[in-house]
Amino acid sequence: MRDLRANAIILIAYLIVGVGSFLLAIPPGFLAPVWLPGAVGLASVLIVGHRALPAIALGMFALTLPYGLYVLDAGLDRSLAGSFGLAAAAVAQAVIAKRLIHPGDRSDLSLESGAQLIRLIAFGAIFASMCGAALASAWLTIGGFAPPQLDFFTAFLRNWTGNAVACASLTPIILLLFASKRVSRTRKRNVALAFLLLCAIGIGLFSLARINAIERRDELFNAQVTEDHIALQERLNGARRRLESLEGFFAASENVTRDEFEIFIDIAFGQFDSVNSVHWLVVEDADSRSSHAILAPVDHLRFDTRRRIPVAPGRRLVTDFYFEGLTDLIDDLLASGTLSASSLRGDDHTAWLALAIPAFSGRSLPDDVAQRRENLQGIAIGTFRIDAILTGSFQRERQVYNYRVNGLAADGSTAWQYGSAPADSPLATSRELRLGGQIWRIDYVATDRFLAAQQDWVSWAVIVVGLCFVSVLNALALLSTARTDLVQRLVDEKTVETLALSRNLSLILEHAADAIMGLDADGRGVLVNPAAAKLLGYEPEELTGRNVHDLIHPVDMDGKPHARADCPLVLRGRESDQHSGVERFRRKDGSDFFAEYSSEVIRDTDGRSLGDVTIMRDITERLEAEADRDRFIERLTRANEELERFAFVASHDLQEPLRLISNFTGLLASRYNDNLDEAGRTYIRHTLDATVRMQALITDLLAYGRLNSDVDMMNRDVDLAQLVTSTLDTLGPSVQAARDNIKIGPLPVVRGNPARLGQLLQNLIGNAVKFQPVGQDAHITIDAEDIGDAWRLSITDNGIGIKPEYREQVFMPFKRLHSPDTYPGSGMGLAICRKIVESHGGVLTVSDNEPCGSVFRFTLPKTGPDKQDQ
Amino acid sequence: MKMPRSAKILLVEDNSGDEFLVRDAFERGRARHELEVVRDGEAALQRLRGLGEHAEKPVPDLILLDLNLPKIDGRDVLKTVKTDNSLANIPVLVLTTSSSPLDIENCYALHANAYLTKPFDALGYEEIVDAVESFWFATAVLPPHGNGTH
Repeated sequence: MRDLRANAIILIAYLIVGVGSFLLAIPPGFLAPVWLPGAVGLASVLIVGHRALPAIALGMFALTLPYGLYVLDAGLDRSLAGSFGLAAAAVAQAVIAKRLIHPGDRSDLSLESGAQLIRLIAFGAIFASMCGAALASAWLTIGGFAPPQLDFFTAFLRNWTGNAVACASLTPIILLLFASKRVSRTRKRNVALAFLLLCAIGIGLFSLARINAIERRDELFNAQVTEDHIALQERLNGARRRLESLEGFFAASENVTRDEFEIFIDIAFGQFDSVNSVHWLVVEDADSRSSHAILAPVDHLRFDTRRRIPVAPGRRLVTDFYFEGLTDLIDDLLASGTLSASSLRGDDHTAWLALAIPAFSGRSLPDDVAQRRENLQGIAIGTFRIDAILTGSFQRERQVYNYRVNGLAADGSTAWQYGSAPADSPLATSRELRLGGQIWRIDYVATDRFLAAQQDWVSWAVIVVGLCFVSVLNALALLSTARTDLVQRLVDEKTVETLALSRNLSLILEHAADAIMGLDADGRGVLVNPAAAKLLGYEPEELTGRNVHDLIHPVDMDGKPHARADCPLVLRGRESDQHSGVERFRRKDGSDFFAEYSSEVIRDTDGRSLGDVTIMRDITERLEAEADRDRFIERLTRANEELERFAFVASHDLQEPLRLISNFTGLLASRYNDNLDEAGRTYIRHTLDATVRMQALITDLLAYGRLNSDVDMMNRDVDLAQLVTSTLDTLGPSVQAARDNIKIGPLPVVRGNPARLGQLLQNLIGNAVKFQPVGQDAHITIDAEDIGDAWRLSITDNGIGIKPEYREQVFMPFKRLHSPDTYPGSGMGLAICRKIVESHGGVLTVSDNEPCGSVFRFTLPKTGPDKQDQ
Repeated sequence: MKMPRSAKILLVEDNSGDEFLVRDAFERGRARHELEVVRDGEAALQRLRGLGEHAEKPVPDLILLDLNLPKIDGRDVLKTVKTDNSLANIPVLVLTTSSSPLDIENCYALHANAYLTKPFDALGYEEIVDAVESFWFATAVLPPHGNGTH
C-alpha cells in the first residue's frame, strides 16, 4: 500500500515535469534542453529505492508514447516499441545511479558533505544519465524508431545533456525537500514556495520573450513571403506583357511568315526561361489556309494534329496546338476580351500554365461576344512551366518556406494543384494569385530551417540556465540553512530547558529555608534569596551591589572586628574552592547570631574567580541546644561517675572493717575457743558466716563497679570457642562433672575484652550448672548463629528455669530468686553479665527452654564494641 | 635462721587493727625483727628519708605498704620510693585490702616487689608473715644496708 502510494506520487510528479520538459523543448526537432523527469527518477530512486522503478518505467512510457504517435506520426506499433525501449533505459539509468551512489541511510541524502554532493553529481547526474542516454539512443536509432534525420550521436548527446543538466540542478533540491530530516518543515515550505515562485516568474518572462520572438519571426516570414509573392506576380505580368506585345505584332502585319514570327518570339521571350511554347493561332475564313508554327515545342506537351475551331459563322481558329480545355480558354478569352489563363495542366513534375491573349481587328475592343467573334483575328498562346516560374520568383524557397498551390474555384472550394509542403508547421501563410481570370491560393509553409534560424536561443538559454540556477541556488540555500536550522532548533530546545531550569532554580532560591547569597569577586552582593534577607534583617535590594562582608560579617567568632581580607568566607587564595564552617554574623539591627556556612568559588572557563556562593543557616538555637545537651551529659556523666566511684569506694571501704571483723572474730575463735561455751562458739560461727557472705557481696559489687574502669581492653580478637574451653577449665568441680553434658557448637571469633567475656561465660555456664533441681544432671548447649551484623550466642540449660515475671528482675543487682541456702550467690552475677554484654554493644535476654530450663541469649556485634559504644 | 641480725621492717599502715594483726603475726613468727610502724604516707617518706625525728634511724630492710593511706597515698609512696635512687633497692611489699586487677597491675608497674592482699580469716596473717619470713628473711638475700643510718 505504501509502495502504491509512493509510486502514484512519483508517477504524477514524473508526468508533470515531463510535460513541462516537452513545453521547454525547442522546435524544430524538439530538443529538450532539460529532461526534468530524469531528475525526478534519480531523486525518487534514491529516496524510496527500487520501489520507485515501476513509476519511472510507467512515467517514461506514458510521456513518450503520445510523442511517437502524434508528433513523429510513427504508428502505434513503432511508437509502443520506442516507448518501451525508452522506459527500459530510464529504469536502467535509475538502477545504475542507485548502485553507484548507494546511500547508507537517509542522512546521506542530506548532502551535508561535499563528497555526497560530488557523488550525486558525478555518479547520478553524469555517469548514470550517460548510460541511460546511450541505451535510449541506441534503441531509437538502431531499432529505427527515431526520425530518419536523427543519428545515434546526435540523439545520445541531446539525451545526455538534457538528462545530466536536469539531474545536476534539480535532484539536490528534491532530495533536500523530500528526504532531508535536517531541514525544518517550515523552511522546506518557504524554499519550495520561493523556488516555485522563481520558476513561475522565469516561465512567465520566458513566455513573454517567446511570444515576442514568435511575432517578430512571423513578421519576417510574412515580409519575405510577400516579397517573393510580388516577384511571382511580376514574373507572370512579364509573361503577360510579352504575349500582349505579340498581339501588337500581329496587328501590325497582315501576314507574318514563320521566320518573322520566330525572330520576334526569340526577341520577346528570349530571356524568359520559363516559357514552354508560344503559339499564334490565326482565325481564318473557311476558305483561307494559313497557319503559324509553334516555337520551341516541348516534348512532353502533347499536341494534336491541326485542328480548326469555329469561332464565328464562317470563321475558324486554326491550331495545331491543342489541349483539353483550350476551347474553354478561348471561350473565357472571348468573354473577357483580354488575357486569360488556363488552370494548371500536366502532372506534378511537368505542370504548366497556358496564357492566351486575343487580337481583334479594329481599333477598339468590340463590345459584345458575337462581335468579338466576328472581329477576332487570332490568339496568342504561351505555355509556361510552373516550376520554372516559381523557382525563378521564389528566391528563398526551401530555405524559408515550402509552398503549395491550390486552385480556388468560383464556389470557394480549393483544390491542390501543385507543390508540396507539410501541413503541420507552426508557421504558414497564404497568398492569392489572380491571373487571366484564374485565382490561386498559394500556401507558404515555413521550413524547419527557417524556424531554427529564427529561434530565440537567448530566451531558451535564459530559461534553462535560469531554472537550473534557481534550483541549485535553492538547494544551496537549503543546505546552508539546514545547519542553521539545526542549531536554531537546538538553541530553542536549550532555551526552553534553560528557562525551565531557571524557573526551578528561582523557585528553589525563593523557597529555600537556607540563606543563599551570591557575591561577586569584590564581595558585592549579586543574589540574595528571601531566606538570606530575612535571616539578616535586610531587604534583598539592600544587600545587592554592596559590600556584604562589612554589613553582615564585621566581627569574627570571638566578636573582634576583622577586615574582609582576613575573613574566612573570602575564598580567594585558598587552596580549595570550597569552604565551610561556623561564623558569627550580624543582623541589620546589630544583633549577632551564629551560622553554619558553606562557600564555593564560582570560576569562569579560564579559572578566574567570578565570586562565590555562600549558603548559611542560623544555628544559634542549635548551638544553645547542643550546649544544653553537652552540659546535661556532662552533669549526668559526672553524677554517674560519682555514683560509681561512691559504690566502688564504699564497697572498698566496707571491706576494711569487715575484714577486721572477720580477722578478729577468727582470732577469737581460734585462740579463745576453749574459753567459750557452746553458745559463744555458735555466735562466732554465725558472725564468721555473715562476714563471708558480706565479703562475697562486696566482691561482686566491686567487680560490677570495675566493669566501667577497663574499657581500654575492649578491642581484642576473642576466639569464643577457646574462651569457652578455658572458662570450663577454671570452673569448679560441679561443672567438671557435668562437662560431658555440655555441647558446644561452632563459635565465632569476636572483638571484645577477653577477661570480661570470660567472666560472662563463667557466670552464665556456672548458673546453668548451679540452678538445677536436686539430683538432676545439667545438660547445657552453647551455640552461636549469624544474624547479619552481629553474632547471637545462646546458652541453653535444662535447669529450674525462670518465671516470666522475674525475667527482667534477675538482671538487677543483688536480685535473688532463691535463698542463699538453696542456691548460693550474691545476686550480682546476671547484673554483671548484662553490663558486660551491654558494654560490648550487645543485648542479653532470657527465655524459656522447652520443656524445662532457660535459654540465655546475648548478641555481640561483628564490628566490635568500640564503635557501638560511641 | 640464717639471718644473724634482726630484720628491720617498716609497716606503713593507718589502721591499728591491721597493725595489731601484723605485729601479732610477726611476734608469733620465728624471725628476729624490729617492726616499726608509721601511720600515713607522709610519715613513711619522712621516715625513709631520715627527716625530722627519724634522722638517726636505720634504713629498713623491708617495707610493708598499705595503699589506702592518709595524706600521701600508698601508690604515691611506692612511686616515690622506687624512683628515689637511695631508696629504690628496698623491697616493698604491698599489703592491701584491694584485690582490684588495676591496683595489682599498677603496683607492679611501679616496681613493687610483691602484692599481698590482706586476708579475711584469722590465720591469714600468720600465713603471710610465715611466707615473708621464709622468703625474704631466709631465702632471699636482701640489699646490704647493714645497720647504716641516713
